[in-house]
Amino acid sequence: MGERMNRRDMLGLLGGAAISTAIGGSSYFKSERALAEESKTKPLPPASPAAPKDTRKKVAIARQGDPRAMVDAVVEALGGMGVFVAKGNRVLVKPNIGWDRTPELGANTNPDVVARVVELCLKAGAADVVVFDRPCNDPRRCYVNSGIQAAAKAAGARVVQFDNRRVTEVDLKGEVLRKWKVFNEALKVDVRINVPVAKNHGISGVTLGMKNWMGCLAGDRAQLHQRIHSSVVDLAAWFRPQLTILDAYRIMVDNGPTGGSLTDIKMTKTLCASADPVAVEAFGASLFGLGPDTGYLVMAEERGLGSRDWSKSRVQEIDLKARRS
Amino acid sequence: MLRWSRRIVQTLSLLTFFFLLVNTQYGGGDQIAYPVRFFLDIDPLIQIGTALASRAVPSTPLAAFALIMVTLVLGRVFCGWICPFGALNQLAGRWRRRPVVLQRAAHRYHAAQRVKYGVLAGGLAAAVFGLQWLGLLDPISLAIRSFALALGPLFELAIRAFFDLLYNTDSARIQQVSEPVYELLKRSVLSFKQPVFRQAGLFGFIVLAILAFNWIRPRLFCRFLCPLGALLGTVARFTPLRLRHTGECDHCGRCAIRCPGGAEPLEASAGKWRPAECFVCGNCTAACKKGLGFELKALAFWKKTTPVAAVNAGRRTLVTGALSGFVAAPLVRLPVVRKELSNPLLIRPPGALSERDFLARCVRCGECMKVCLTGGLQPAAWEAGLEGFWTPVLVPRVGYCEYNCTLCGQVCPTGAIARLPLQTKHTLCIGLASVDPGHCLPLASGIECLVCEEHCPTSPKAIRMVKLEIYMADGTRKVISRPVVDPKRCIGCGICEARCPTRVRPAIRVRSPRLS
Repeated sequence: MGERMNRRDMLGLLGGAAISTAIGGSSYFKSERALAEESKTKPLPPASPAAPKDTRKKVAIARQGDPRAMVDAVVEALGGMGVFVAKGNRVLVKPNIGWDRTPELGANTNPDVVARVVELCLKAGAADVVVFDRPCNDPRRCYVNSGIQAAAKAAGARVVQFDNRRVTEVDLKGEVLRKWKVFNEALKVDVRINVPVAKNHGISGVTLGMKNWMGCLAGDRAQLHQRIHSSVVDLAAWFRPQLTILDAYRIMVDNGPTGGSLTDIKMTKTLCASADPVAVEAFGASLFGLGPDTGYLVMAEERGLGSRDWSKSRVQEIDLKARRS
Repeated sequence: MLRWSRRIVQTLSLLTFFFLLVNTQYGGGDQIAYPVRFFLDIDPLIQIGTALASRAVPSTPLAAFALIMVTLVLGRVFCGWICPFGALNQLAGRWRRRPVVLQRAAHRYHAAQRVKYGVLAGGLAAAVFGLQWLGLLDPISLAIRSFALALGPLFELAIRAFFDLLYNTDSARIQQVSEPVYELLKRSVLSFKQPVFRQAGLFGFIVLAILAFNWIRPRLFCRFLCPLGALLGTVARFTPLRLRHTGECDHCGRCAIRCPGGAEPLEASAGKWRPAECFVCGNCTAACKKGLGFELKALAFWKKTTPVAAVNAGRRTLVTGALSGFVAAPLVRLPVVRKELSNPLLIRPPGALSERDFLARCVRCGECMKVCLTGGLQPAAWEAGLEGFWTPVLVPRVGYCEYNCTLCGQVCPTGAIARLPLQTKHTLCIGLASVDPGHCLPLASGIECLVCEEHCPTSPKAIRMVKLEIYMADGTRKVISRPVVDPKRCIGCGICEARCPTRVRPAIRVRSPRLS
């Protein structure tokens, strides 16, 4: 015992210890993959039972306010965040952080909108709020320059980068999309809130909310564009967010979805929210002067994801300018 | 005492080198946060070589001049205390434990040490003709290039593979330990994504071979090949430093078996110590039992003092070197080997000077390739001809040029890639995209796509979708949208080629703008 161990023996001892620990401790807790498996088969919980039935069809539209005030207004109009988020829930707030653009260029979701949504979820008692996207430009630059990383972190969210290891293969059971690898952070949550930004788009006409779920997919997403309408509806049908809040504070009317010039933007200062994602999309399309006949909207309604006819739904419009004066 | 100071400074310098190398990357802001060019900026060989080749004032003349002044007074302290590649060679040299009998021979001055002066002469001669090959053997450039393009990625691959192995055990218990450690490594030493460089095997082989040479002689590269060492050696020849015993030298030889530079400290009292080869490392003074020490003899230039050996460069070596350099330049530029004017794949980074000036300035250090966000800047193979091998070219298939990024110009030490303000960069055309109708999905198969247009970053976009009526294979007619490139707006960033879903052979490719 008094003698010093030589190097070879020490290495052998350490190596043996490492290997035996690895073998021995291999199945004490459930692995992350097993957890992901469980959550994907578990159905998402419905809105809390105390909420009135109308919430499902109600559409709230706020205009002419600053982003945070408008978020408060629409969520309040829908009955408060407590209708969607119960105490202890794990929440995914899914913004659009697709492009390396600053907020005034309108290519990503407004950071103030994202931050306020995060704050409301935490106030409603959420245990964990995660924010992520799978950007098309350099992911670090997109997270930083969109302002969303800083704003969401300050609001208390857990901001993560897309990680190609932490994915689970899921059967999306769609018409076009079948087995796809989905990021685990989108799976192991109780509530999904979609916070897209309204932009024009060469392929789909407009990109509003349903296309935003592409950010949860791993693998080669480019091929989705070959059947974009069916793919987008398949995604919306599988991800089924409890709440969709469309950021139309600035909308991109030209050169979308990348933009790059202030002349591509129109300041519409509008926010629309509903539990019905199709109604939100249809309203969003109207901002571009389009009727709700874009291919994927029709398909979505036919598949029972919601109703396109937003004027019929219970629409509550809140004009924040009028409120202030 | 001197030896311990040297060891501390040498270690700190090596750590600083790696720290700066790791931080040659996007750090959350548009401007690079650290002085990552430091070692290149103080390197007089890079400065002089670039000045000769480009006939312009070098980028950091003061820093390099300061180093020359320091060498004039203190000898080759750079080689012994600062040079990170020298430190690596020294470490590699310690691997082999020679019996005492062989140590003397290994540490003795060898006549072939004059070869490095020939290399220097050749490099300078070539630079006079605009052939900038000094950067190939310059130790700083070599070290950065080898680590950034080969050894660093290899190291990262090993780490990622190890942690992926642990992750894939699917055991939460292992992951609870391994994942936080991996996160820590990702935030500190690992790059954002695994770097992949062409010719990495070649770079790795070369640097490992050079380090392996230390088996033959300690610090073989520094003593026999390094042109920067040769440059500093010619200056160090005039140092007022002298090696002096306080006692009487008894020729025990303890100093001689430890000298890494082959500077013959044993002959100091006989006036044959070689300051041009001495790294001022302090090994000899630490080993001597008779009080050997360095003394700074002020006014040694004109006061009579102990003689020292001159630089043994050898007339023949210098002339051979210079002639090789003179001949290499036109030889390399013979039309048959110079292809860069006609190679469509020669896409230079934004801010690159015109090809002639670019080749004169680029020292092939690899900084731009290391910093490139998307990893699109790759060392050229034949795209720029024999003269331009290992200079950076954009390969959109690997990585496109990120629209709002200007990092490459910020790290280029010689101005081969100019620092650009963002507005200028947005309008600079580095290439031109062209659609290949035989592979483009809408054109070839009537399948909707448009990914290229979606990603095009310019406003207004350089790719427009135009409706086209086509006949399908079953005879029906279909209206689809096909991409049309506007050559007045395309800047050649390559994101279209990078994202085109026909992966193996992209249906839209960026070509050198000279072809249009």
